[in-house]
Amino acid sequence: MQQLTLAIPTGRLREECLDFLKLCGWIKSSPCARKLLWETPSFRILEVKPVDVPVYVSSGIADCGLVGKDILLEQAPSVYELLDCQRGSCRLSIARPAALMGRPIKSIATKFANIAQVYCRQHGIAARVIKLNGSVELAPLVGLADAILDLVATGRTLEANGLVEETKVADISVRLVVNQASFQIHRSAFDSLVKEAKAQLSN
Amino acid sequence: MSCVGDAMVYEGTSKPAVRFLCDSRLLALRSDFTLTLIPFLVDKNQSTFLPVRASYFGKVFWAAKEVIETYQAGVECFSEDFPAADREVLQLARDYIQVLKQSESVICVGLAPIADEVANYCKLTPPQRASLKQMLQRKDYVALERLLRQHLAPPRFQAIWSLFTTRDNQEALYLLEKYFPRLFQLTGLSEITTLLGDDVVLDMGLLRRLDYYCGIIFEAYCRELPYPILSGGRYEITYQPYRSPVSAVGFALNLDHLLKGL
Repeated sequence: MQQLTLAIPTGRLREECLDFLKLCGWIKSSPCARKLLWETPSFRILEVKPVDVPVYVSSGIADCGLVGKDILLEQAPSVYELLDCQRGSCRLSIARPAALMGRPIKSIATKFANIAQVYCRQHGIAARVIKLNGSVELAPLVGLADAILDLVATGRTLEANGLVEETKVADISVRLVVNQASFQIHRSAFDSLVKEAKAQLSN
Repeated sequence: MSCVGDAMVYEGTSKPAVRFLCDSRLLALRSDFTLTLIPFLVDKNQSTFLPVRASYFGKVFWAAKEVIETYQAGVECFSEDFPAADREVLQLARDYIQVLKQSESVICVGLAPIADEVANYCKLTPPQRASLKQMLQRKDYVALERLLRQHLAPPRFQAIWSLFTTRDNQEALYLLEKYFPRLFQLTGLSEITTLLGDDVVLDMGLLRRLDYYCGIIFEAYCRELPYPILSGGRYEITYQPYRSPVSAVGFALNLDHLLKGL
């Protein structure tokens, strides 16, 4: 198989993605987290910020990448989505202070402004979307917004800040994404990789 | 406009690509040559001289995440003998790719009506049908597999899934003829089988975003570019002066993309 370039996310998902790659037999070992470019016989691995994985893949610098579905929904990049890697599973949900449950939402604070706008439009919610870059749970506590749209794994952060999960918007997990042209040029390689991964994931 | 042999060359300069409408506050930009080519042919009474082979070159504009201004070149073949015209245009696309001498390239050929046929086969509701098309356009195989599994028993799921994902030309033809014989006949796919090989492959999972395609559709890829090097297909457009829809086959290539890759 010709060597493929794979972009993987740094940070919280890095270890889970490396575990997935080892499980599928795509790599045998990995270097320390500080090395951003390394190689195996089958792959040239780029370690990039999670939000940048679609940029590397859609531009063709990377043939493929591992990225959270939340980022795919937010950015809607021109990449093909081949596999649910069953890693980093969580949900994207709307949460609110318990006292506001059931009342119309007037404003939503979130890192995922595009997803929030689409959700509001599809559900007839006339809410102002406020883009934040982190600590989203703070917004309802200080009166910046009356709801948040954020990733929820265990729900402990919501609970610690007096918020209640109201609506699940999407299930989130890591996906294998592929550049359009790479998919067509290396089709048999990707078919084999997906087949191997599906076999391992179903065990 | 000029003529070279029996092919018309439409240079895109006879009509302005940019027009000011109403009170000059609204700007209309051409996004596509195909839609402007048909009125041009009707104006010149070229429609009575079928078959007509036309080529064009000029600027087009898109407004997606950003406004894009680029040069597009293309060919169109208006002919009543549609399987032969499909074969001729596909061969032209293949010749063009060979002239470029890219290291690795492939032309993927699909059928535009396949999504509707599969939606009917699965008895999908209109919103599910729209979702299916979106999944195919984005090759979101995760969502596509879930949708098909929900609506088909395992053996049928396996057949349709294989139809969408196989890269084996013979398997694709077999599945298409078995499950969608009417589509196989109507689109004249058997006429292009002689062109199939390692560099021209069937991809029944291919679906283009433009909704005027009605028969074969195709996209060509090469290793040097992260997006299609050229794309096209058979289309049918209703133009008011005509009583019946105008049908043609053609392809276009983005010259700015091409220059980046060379």
